[in-house]
Amino acid sequence: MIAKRLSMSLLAVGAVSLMVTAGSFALFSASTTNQNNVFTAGTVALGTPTPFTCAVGAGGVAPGDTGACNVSVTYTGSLEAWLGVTASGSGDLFSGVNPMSITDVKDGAASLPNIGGKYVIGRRNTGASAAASVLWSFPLAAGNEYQGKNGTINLMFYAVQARNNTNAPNTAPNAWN
Amino acid sequence: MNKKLMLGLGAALATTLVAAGGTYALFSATAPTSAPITAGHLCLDSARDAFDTVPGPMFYMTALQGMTSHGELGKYPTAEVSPNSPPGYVPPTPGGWAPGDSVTRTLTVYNGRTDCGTTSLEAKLVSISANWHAGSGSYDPLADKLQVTVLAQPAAGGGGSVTVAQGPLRQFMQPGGVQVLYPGGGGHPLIPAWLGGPQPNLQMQFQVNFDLDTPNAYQDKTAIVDFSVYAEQARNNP
Repeated sequence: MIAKRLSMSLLAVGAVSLMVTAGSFALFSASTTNQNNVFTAGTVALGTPTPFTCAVGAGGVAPGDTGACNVSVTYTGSLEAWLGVTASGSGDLFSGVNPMSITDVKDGAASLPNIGGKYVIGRRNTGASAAASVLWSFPLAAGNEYQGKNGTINLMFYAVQARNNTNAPNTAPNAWN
Repeated sequence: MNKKLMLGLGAALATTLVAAGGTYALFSATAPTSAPITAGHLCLDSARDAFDTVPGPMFYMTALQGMTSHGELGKYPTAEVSPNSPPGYVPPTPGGWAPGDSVTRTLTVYNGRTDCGTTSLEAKLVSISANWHAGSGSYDPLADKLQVTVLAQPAAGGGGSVTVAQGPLRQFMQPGGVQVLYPGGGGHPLIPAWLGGPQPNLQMQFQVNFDLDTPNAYQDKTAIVDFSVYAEQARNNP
């Protein structure tokens, strides 16, 4: 009798377990899909700057000389970009008591504004070129210690996306990166 | 004695046979009848903004990418003006997506528009998911830099669209996608037209933002995404 009751109980428990296990219910469902949504990021890129030319007097620079170095670069990115440039000198001519110095950076006749540590050339679209003239000066007071010394004028062009990165007056980017 | 024993055994056997076979027969009759019963359908389909050529993707860079299956160019490419674009259209991502860009496109979801007749069930939105389009070779890290916000009309009562799902694209690509949650609970029923519902369709806005803080490594990279909208029966499903 007890065995019979035990068997029946086990059977009932088993049946309930099966129901619970099978048990997560399902509702009717459906879906709809919109395919092939394309997102391609643009590019910001610069071509190789033209070979640098710096006009100096015959025989080399002398105290009191001034001059300009002209260079240009082509913007090759797909996104419109702000272009800027920095200029610096290095070497013995740019050190010491009366060193050479970079006095200005121009685009044609106009001095380029220096904003955020860079001379801002302006906004360019793909294929457009940007030119800069780097003006230098060698003080008249430079002494004989500079005779035969060398120096290098270094330029670095910068490009940064213009979209979502332009200041309110539209004169420069908010950030160069 | 043997004969009696045999007769007794035979009777016992006969009784046993009758008991084991058990059921005896009476006069009776049956009259079958039946009625058909049919389960309903959830018949969903969708189309990009009704003013664009359909069918096609919501987001596409060029007119060709947005071309329909029957050769109509898309009207609203994000990177150029299409021959089909309306006058004055300004593409939002000329040259490609730039960090900080944000574009919104519309998807209209329909219930019962396809051939389900009077078996279309009332439905409710449940979740939204995304996947790389098969074979697209998408740049996977873009899933962390594209932020998706989905807006939809609120439940009956009108009002402007509200955010019902939001997160990086990566989140929409997880199993189950992102659950649709209306502010304050509830949901927007999709009542099939044949039931006389006022809103057999639902306009949803998909807003995609490209993180402003995205490094150069993402330049010129492409992602091609399929967006899916899931719904369940509304009845018996609070």
